[in-house]
Amino acid sequence: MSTQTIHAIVGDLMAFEPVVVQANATLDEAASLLDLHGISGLPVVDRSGTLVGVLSQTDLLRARSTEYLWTNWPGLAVRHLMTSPAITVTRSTPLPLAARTMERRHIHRLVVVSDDDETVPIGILSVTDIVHAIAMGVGRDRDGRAEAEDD
Amino acid sequence: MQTVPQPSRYPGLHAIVDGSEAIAHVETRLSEIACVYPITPSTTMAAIFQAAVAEGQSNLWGTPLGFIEPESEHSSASAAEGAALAGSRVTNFTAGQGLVLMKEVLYVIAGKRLPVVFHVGARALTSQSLNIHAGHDDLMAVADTGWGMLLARNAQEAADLTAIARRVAEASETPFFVAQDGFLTTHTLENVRLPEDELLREFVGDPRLHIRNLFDPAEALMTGTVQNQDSYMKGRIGQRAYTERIPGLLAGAMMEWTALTGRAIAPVQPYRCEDAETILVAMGTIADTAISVVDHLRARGRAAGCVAVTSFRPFPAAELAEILGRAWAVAVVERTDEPTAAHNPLTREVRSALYDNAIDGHAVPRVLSVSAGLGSRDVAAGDLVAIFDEITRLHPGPLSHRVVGIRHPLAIERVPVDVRPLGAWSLRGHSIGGFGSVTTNKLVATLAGELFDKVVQAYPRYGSEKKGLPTTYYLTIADEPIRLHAELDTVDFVPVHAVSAFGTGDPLAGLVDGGTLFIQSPLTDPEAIWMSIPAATRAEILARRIRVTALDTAGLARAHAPRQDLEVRMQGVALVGVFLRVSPFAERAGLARNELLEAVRERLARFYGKRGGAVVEANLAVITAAYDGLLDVTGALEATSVPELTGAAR
Repeated sequence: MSTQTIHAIVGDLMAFEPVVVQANATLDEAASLLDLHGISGLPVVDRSGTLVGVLSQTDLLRARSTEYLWTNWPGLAVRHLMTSPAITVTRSTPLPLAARTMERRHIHRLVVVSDDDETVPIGILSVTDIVHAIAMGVGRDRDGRAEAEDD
Repeated sequence: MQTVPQPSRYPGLHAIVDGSEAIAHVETRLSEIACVYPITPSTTMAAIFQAAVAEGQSNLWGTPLGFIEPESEHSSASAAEGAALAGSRVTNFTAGQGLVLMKEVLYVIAGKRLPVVFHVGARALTSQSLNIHAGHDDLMAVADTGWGMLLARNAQEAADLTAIARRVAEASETPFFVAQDGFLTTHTLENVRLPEDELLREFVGDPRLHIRNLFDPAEALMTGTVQNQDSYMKGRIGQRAYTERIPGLLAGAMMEWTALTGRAIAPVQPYRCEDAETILVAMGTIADTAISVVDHLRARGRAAGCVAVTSFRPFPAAELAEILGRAWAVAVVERTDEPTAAHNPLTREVRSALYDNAIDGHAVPRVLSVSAGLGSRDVAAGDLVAIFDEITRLHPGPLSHRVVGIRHPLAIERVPVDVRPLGAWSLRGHSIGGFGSVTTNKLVATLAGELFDKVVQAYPRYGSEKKGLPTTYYLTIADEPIRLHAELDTVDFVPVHAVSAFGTGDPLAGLVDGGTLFIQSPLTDPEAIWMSIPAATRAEILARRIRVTALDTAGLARAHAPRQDLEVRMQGVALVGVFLRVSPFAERAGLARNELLEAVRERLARFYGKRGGAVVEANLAVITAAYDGLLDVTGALEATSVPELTGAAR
C-alpha cells in the first residue's frame, strides 16, 4: 500500500448510515432492500437496533440453490441465513487492517460500529469502497503514479 | 482449550482451595523437606507444609516430612542447596524481597545442577514504597539465574505445574521456580482438581530413583571450588548441554500430564489465535482474565486472541513467533516496569522472537508494551478490552509504552464491560479486618460450591492494614469456569458488617438495581433499622429498588457460641444462613428449607466432624436461626405503608 493508504482509516472511506434489515424480516424483504438500494449486503439488527449479524447477496443466492432452503423459502427469516456475529471495525481502524481482515476472512464488507458502542452499526466499508479509492487516486504517490496494492 | 477425547485416567479430586493449598497438597506428597523463611504472600504454603510436618506426615514414599526455618531467605536457599546436594527432594516458599535476597545462592544451585523446586507467590518489590501484593518484579529479578520458571494462571495450574516442574527438574538436573500471583492466586479460593496420589507416584516417582546424592562418601567429589581463566568459562558454557535438553523434556512432560489428567497445559498456551489480528500476551492471572475478554470480543466480531506464556524460562521463542507472526498487532501486558531498559522483560523476549521472522522477510506485527497490575493494582477486563482497542488502531511507526489502571499521560482508559460467565452471581462484602470475614467467605464459597455443584471464586481484598480497618471480600458463583481475576464492578448482593460501613465507603457501588443489601444490626424493628441508614443512602436504595435485609448476627453468635472466643467465627457462620436465604441457588436447585438445612448439616459434619457433633449442631443452629430470622426490612415497611416506600419507587 502507498504511504497515504497506510495512514488512512476506515472513517475516510466508509459509507455512513447503512441500510439495515431486521432479523425477523422475510428473505423477500431483504432481497427487495438490496435491489432497491443497489447494494450487496446488509447489517442485521434486532428490534432494539443492536447489531446481530450480516446478510449478503451470496447468502441469498446460496439459499436459493439449496433445495431444502428453497422449499422452505416463505417460512425463512433473515436471522436463519445471516452470518453471526458480524465482523466489525470502528471508524478509527487503520485501512490496511480492514483490508487484511476482508482478505483473510474472505468477506466483501465490514460493518463499522461506533467507537463508544460496538452494538450500533454506523456504516459499511466494502471492497468496492477501497477499489474506488485506489481508482480515484487516494493511493497515488507524489509523481502521480498509481501504486499497486502489495500488502 | 483443548479437549481430550478419551476419559483421562486421573481426572483429579474435586476441591475448593486457594493456590497455596493447591501446591502444598502436591509438595507434602512429593518433597522430603522444606527449607523456608516464609514471607507474605507465600506464608500460607509454608504454614500448610509445617502443619503436615507437625502432624508427623510422610511423603508418598514413606519419608517423614522435614522443615527447617533458618534466619533469612539467603540461608533458607543455602539450606535447600545443602539438602539437595545430599540427595533430598527439597522445596522452598518465598516471594518479593525474600526471593531477591536469595539471588546469590540461586546461581550456585543452578550451577551445581541441583533439581530443587521453589514456589513463589509473585510480589512487587519495594521501590518508592513497600508493597506486599502481586507483581512480577521478583520473578524478573531472578529470571536469569539459570533456573526454569513456570507461571500459573490460576490455582489449578499451580497444582499441575508443581508436579510437572519436579519431574522436569529431576530429568534435566535444573532447578525450577513455580510462580503464582501473590494473593490473586495464593489467597483466592477456586474449584481445583487436585492430583491423585497414584498420579503423583507414577508421574514424578520416588526421589531415591531420580536424585543423585552428591555427598556420598563412597564417591567423593569436590564442589563449590574456585576456578580461574583456565576452567571457569569452560564450565559455564559446558552447562548449555543441560539447558538445551530442557525445552524438549518440558514439552514432553506437559503433553504426558495433559494425556493423563485431561487438563491441557503447554509451555505457551494460545487461545483463539489461529486467525487473530490482535493478540494479547501475558503471564499469570492477567493471561486468565484475557481468555474471557477474548470470548467477549469474538462474540462481537473482533478477531482477537491471547497467549499465556507458561514457561518464561526456558523461553519458548520459536513457538511464540509462530503464533504471533501473522497478527496485525500484539500487546504484551506485564506486571512490572523497567523504564531504563529498551522494553519490559517479556516484551524484550517477544520482540526478539519476532526478529528472526523479520530477517526472513516476513511481515511482523507491531508490538505494544503495557504495564499493568503493579502491586495488585486492579486489572479489570475493561482494561484489557481497552488495550485490544488501542492495538486495533495502531499505525506503523514507533510505539510509546502504555499503562492501565491509573491516571497518567501514558494510561489507556478502561472500557466498562462485564465478562463474568452468563448467569454468574456475585457478592461483595464489607467488613472490618479481624472480624473473620475471610473465613466466612471461605465457608460460604465452599458450601455454595459443594451444595449446589457450582464453580466458585472467593477473593479477599487484603491490605497491609490488618486489624480494625475496613476490608472488602468478593465471591462469584457460576456454572462455568471463572477466568476473571479482578475486583468486581457488578455484584448482586452486598452484606455489610454495620450501618457505619456507609460512612467509610460506598457499599451500594456496583450493586445491581433490584439487588440485595444485608446489614448486621443490633436493632430488631424494621423501621428503626431503616431510619438508622443515612438519608442519602435510603434515597438511593428506593430509587434503585434495592432490597434491604437485616439481622443481629452478633446477638445470634452470642446466644449460640459455646465459648466467648468463638463468637466472631459464629457471627460469620450466621452469614451463611443469610446467604442461603437471599441467594437464588437453593430455589434453583429445588431445595426446600428442610432439605437445604439437612444438606448443610452433611457439609458441616465434614468441616467440623473432627471437633465433634456438638460443634456441628451449634453451627447448624446458628445457620438455621439466621435463615429463619432474617428481617426483610424493605418488605416489612412496604407492608406497613411507610410513606417513603409507597411512592413511585415501588
